[in-house]
Amino acid sequence: MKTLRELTIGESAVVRQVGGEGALRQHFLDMGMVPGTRMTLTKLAPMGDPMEFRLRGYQLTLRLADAEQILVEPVETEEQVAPAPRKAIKKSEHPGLGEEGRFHSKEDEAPLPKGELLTYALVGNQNCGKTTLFNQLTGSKQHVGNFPGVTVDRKDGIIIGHENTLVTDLPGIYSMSPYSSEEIVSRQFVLEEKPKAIINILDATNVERNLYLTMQLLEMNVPMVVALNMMDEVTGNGGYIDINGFEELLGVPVVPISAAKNQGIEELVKHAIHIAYYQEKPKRQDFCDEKDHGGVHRCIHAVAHLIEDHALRAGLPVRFAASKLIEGDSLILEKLKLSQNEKELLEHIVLQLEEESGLDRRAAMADMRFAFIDKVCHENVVKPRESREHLRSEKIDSILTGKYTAIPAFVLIMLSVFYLTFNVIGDYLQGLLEDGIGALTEAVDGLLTAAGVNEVIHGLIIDGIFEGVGSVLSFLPIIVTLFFFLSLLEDSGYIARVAFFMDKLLRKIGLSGKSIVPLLIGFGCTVPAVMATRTLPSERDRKMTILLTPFMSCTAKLPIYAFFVEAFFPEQGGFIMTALYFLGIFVGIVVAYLFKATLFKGEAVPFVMELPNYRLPGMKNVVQLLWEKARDFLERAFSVILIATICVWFLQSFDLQFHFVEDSSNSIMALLAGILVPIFKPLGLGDWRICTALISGFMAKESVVSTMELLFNSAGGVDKALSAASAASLLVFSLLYTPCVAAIAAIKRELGEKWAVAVVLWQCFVAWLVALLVKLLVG
Amino acid sequence: MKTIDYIIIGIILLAVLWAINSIRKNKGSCGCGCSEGCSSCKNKCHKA
Repeated sequence: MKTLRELTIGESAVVRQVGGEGALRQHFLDMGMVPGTRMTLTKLAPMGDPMEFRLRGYQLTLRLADAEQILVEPVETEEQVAPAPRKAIKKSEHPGLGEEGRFHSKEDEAPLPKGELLTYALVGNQNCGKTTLFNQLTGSKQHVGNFPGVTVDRKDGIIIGHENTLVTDLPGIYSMSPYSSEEIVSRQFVLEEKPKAIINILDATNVERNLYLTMQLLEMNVPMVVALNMMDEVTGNGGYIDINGFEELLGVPVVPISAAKNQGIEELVKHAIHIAYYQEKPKRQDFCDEKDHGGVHRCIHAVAHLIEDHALRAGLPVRFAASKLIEGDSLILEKLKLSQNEKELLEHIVLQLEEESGLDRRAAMADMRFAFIDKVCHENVVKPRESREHLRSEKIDSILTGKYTAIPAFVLIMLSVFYLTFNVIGDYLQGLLEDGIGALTEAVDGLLTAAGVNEVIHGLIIDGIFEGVGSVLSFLPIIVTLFFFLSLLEDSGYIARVAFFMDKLLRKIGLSGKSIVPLLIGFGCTVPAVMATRTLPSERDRKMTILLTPFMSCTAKLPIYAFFVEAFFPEQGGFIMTALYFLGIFVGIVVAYLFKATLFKGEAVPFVMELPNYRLPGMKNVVQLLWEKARDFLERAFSVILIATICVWFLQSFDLQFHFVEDSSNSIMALLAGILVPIFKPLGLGDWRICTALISGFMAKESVVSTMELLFNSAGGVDKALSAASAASLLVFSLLYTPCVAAIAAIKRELGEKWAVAVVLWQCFVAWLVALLVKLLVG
Repeated sequence: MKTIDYIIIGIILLAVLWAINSIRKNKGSCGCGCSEGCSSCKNKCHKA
């Protein structure tokens, strides 16, 4: 026997013992790693960690530290085992569950009152096509990605043509154990909001793992319909599933569908309406085989009897509560309010199960479920041959996740994306938009002059609104282009691979591989970077990543660097620009270590992730995402930034008596900025004009330069007012201080007001400290 | 101040009111696809 970690690439082994503890161990079991399961090591990430395994027909990644906890016994590799002859499956009779006509008994029907809202929970594993089905059912336009965990919270919609329905798209989960926040959200929804029915979507190309969740949903005793998605892929690759046999064994209606091709949806809706309206509950909840799993069978029934009254009082399904209690679910135990005597009785029953089965309680339950799944699959499924999609993915992966090619390919791809965005496509489109805005500004300026509009109002429109909103608006093409490339990478399935091979590096600073995506986007713009953190599964990782993104130097800061480098360090331009980028990353790493030791103690979530096959991105999906991002950006430009622009213009143009001032040194802004002068004095920046420029940078970083040009022009340029050491400290301060108002608004949206305020203060503090160090070093 | 000045001030005030309303409603800005605006949206994607 050895550990899973010790396997060599291509080597297969059978799981003998699953170590670890608590929720993580339960997660291992839920993912199908139960004793007796065959696993094959398919590859290692380029840095040797994590590992990728093939089990139960799918690919799973695990960190070395996690793999070390699983004991295995090596067996012959899959290639060495002679392939089993394809079995013939006899066609079963149609059980007709969830249907009208001869299958529906009028005598014992109990329909809901007419007009009652039929609520549905759409539940399934990650990346099995839930959101695609949700969009087909409701006509919504939710973003669909080829990356596990795109849906991070629930979403509601009405089924097209059925006004009295409400479907809730829940985050993808693997089991009803409270392992991740998504699993808790989904479980709470079914238990507490009590939907009238469940639509359980399964990836038909991988029914073995998907059925595990189905069995736990059946235990909840809620009317349910099973949608077998991607059936076209199964049949296209020579596979077959006997739907009638499936329906018979599961005791709920089963409908084959292809959500992406809109096939079978009508039939699914018919069944869903029927079971919800007539409240037809699952015909089967008992999956134990009395011969092989007699101990488990007796244990579940004994516990069910013991807790029946408590479960009914707590409003919990008895069978579900019993199973979860046996697994040691503390949340359910708390809800049931068992007496000490009952708790002891429960423990004795479970100990008996462990003694009889030779497995611990959690493994015994998982083993019972997978034994039933094996039976269902053995009788009804002819596995498809290796799909074209998987073969294609393996070929692409040999380069994109290859030991020596993964990192260079990643660097090349990211450089191409940034080069095309910031130097070619985005830059060209930005130029066009700037020309358009410039022409419009000129035309409006001419019109206002011709109409003899008041000088103050003229200034507000041209110097305030057009200058401020226009400068921010010109970044729209950059944002849209960047998102175009990133959505291509995400939809194709590449981002999941990046998370896979960057995990080891990021774990050192307390993050998981999945955080790499937002951090990379942060070099473009902090706003989309903060939004991209939604795909991170843990709240801890999400918060920490959001707090680190502002340290990645965004493109809006480039004009500041260019301005000062030209004025003070023309000889070392390239070196200083590069050094600033690296300084941002370095400070980010130091802050990450600090966070890891204080605010966000503990480890990043375990990297147990499924790698999807590469798919060609759907143009409709990409175009829809781009439109949403563009609309979002435009709304922000014409709301937050419009108001901020007017405020800054007002403060720069009036004095305390609200008289229009010609010289802005007499303005309210100068007075306010003057208060900050003592704070900036140690940095060599004790000038109200610099403080004003930095304050205006809060609105948009680009305006630091325009404000400085405006305020220092009469003084003969900024190089006459500052020393080289002060300029260096100003550059560092600009690199690190508070993100712009749009980024703060995005942080507020994701984390709330307190965190947004904390980020502003924290970033300013870090910037001040590092700028002071630089001033002392250079000076 | 001429009539045109008052008209322009009126337009700017309307734009500001719309902007404030838009920020208050935070309409569709979470990217969840809901067209109702975040304050009246049933999706719980902004619970922070």
